[in-house]
Amino acid sequence: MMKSTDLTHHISRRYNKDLEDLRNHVLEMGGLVETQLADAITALVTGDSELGLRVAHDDYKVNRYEVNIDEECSRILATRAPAASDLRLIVAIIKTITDLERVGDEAEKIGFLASKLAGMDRPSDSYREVKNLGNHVLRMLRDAMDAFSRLDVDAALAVVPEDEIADQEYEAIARQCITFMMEDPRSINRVMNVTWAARALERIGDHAKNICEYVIYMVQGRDVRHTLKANKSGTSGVEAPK
Amino acid sequence: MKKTIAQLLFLLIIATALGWYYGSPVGGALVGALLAIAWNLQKLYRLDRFMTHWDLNSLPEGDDAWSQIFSKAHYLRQRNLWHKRRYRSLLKEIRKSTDAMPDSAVLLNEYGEIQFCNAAAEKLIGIKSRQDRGQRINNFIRSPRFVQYLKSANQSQPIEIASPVIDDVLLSCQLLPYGGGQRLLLARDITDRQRLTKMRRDFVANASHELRTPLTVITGYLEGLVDDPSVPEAWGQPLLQMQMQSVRMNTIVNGLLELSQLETRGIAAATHEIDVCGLINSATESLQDESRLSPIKVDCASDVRLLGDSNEIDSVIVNLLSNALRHTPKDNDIRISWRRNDDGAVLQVADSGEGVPKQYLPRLTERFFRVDQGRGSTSGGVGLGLAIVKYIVGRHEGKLSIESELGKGTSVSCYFPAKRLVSAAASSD
Repeated sequence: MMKSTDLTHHISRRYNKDLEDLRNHVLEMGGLVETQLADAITALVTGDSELGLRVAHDDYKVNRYEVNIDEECSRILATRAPAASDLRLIVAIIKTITDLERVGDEAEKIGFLASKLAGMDRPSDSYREVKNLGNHVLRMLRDAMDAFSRLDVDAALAVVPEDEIADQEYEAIARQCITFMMEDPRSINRVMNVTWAARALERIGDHAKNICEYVIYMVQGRDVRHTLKANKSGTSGVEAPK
Repeated sequence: MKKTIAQLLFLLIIATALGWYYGSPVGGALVGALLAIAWNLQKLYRLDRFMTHWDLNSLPEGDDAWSQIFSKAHYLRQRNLWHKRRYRSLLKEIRKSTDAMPDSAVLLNEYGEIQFCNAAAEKLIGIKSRQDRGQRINNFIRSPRFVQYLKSANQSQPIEIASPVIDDVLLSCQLLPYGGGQRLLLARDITDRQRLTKMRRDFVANASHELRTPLTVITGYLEGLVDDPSVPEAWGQPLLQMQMQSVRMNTIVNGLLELSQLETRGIAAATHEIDVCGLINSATESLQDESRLSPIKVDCASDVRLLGDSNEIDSVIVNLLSNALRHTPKDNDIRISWRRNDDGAVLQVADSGEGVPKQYLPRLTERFFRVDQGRGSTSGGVGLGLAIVKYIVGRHEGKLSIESELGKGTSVSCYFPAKRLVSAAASSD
């Protein structure tokens, strides 16, 4: 088992600091993505086109983080030739930032859609379902980043079944949207945008789940991708890999 | 101690005497010495055992040197235990009291790693006090604003961030340095305060909006009545008074509305370039029309453009100029200038009026604050101008500073940072 204190076990203090900084930067990037997503959801729900455009514009910051962290990883790989848990850490980070960057892209998309939707009619429920789904995936992302910072396998495993719920919520929204479109074809333009936003949120749930799988890989050295979903019996049903 | 030495000497003398009796005094002394060593070794062994197990039954009786060492060791241990217990209960008390604090407190070392946190930190920030010790604080508070604040040199002002664990909870965070590079992070739940501020803001906005409609009706009819020749002569003066007061009320309501709108907006977007000199010139012309007022001297030393909201900057200039005109005796100069300085640009309005007493300077930007309460109604001000100016300058990331000398005049300066400026030459390309 790998613990957070394991990062400080190297004889070279410089190496310790490099690894700790790297992890820290990933979490900073996670924080930025969380904020982007939260702002995008707020923009969509409150119809704030200015905020939506700002989110879309700020995506370059996320991309910059990805490039910098990638570079940092290659530098450590080249100069330190890490092994065992350090190597797993680097590999997991390289994968995590890809997923985070995708989440950033989805947030950008939602921000852009929010600014478009702000100019159109607003439904009476002011996108309540979309807000619920958004808050749900935002919590998933937050929990995934917390699990990453604590290297906490149990917390990571707890996030995985949440994706199922996000999928179901997305299904419900999609079905509702189809009903709207059939009732009133004039609303198709608007409702399509809502569907895309919901779709983007659902994808973010998948990315959060992926990050949790990388956490498990990083701590236990086990690749659990595509194996956790088979067990559908809910939170308690997912067994911790030994 | 003396007794033990006496015992040892006695043993040696007896042993030597016995040896002399049997023909070898040296052999006797040797046997005596060996016996003494064996006895001491045995005591040493018992001391070692005693200090491992602290079994009181093995505490030797008597008052020789060894017994004294035994009891001293025992006494030292008891004293240590007592101190330890005291410190432990003291620490427990401290922990309990910090846990009772409603604000979360986190101790950070020089690398920003968590050393200690109280129960509220667990609730508001989501730090698990045992598990997360030694982790960097920005692994948990990941908001980009906080990360920036943590790295910034100036941490004297608290920042507001959303709680990372509880939805819809707003925290006010502040880092306080102490010791060698260590810092204390205080985070306070300010959701209620925020809600109250919002309620007050909404109330002012709604109230002034609701007041505007009836006021328009009253002003409209009054205007008609003042010009109506069929109204008896005796009503002329009261009607004029009523009209003046309703115009004044209109100004107040509009000022309040403008303020409440400014409050809800964040930092002004830096997308539009403003020709400050152009605004100054047009504002001066429109105000100068009323020829009985003091002359305004315009000094545009720079044609640098400001990034922001043109209407708002116009409002700043008009507010400052009309304030200056109101407080300057006729024929005294008023100067308005726009020029660059070392770290940005400054818009300055200086009058040569009566000035403001020093003790009132900090309160000038409060709403409805007037230095001379009796004077306001005659000069036409309502006491919202400087409050509006302060908000607008703040929205453009600038700073407002007011200097005044009694009898010589007042000067109001708005400092704008360099990042809000573009040179006119660059913008024309």
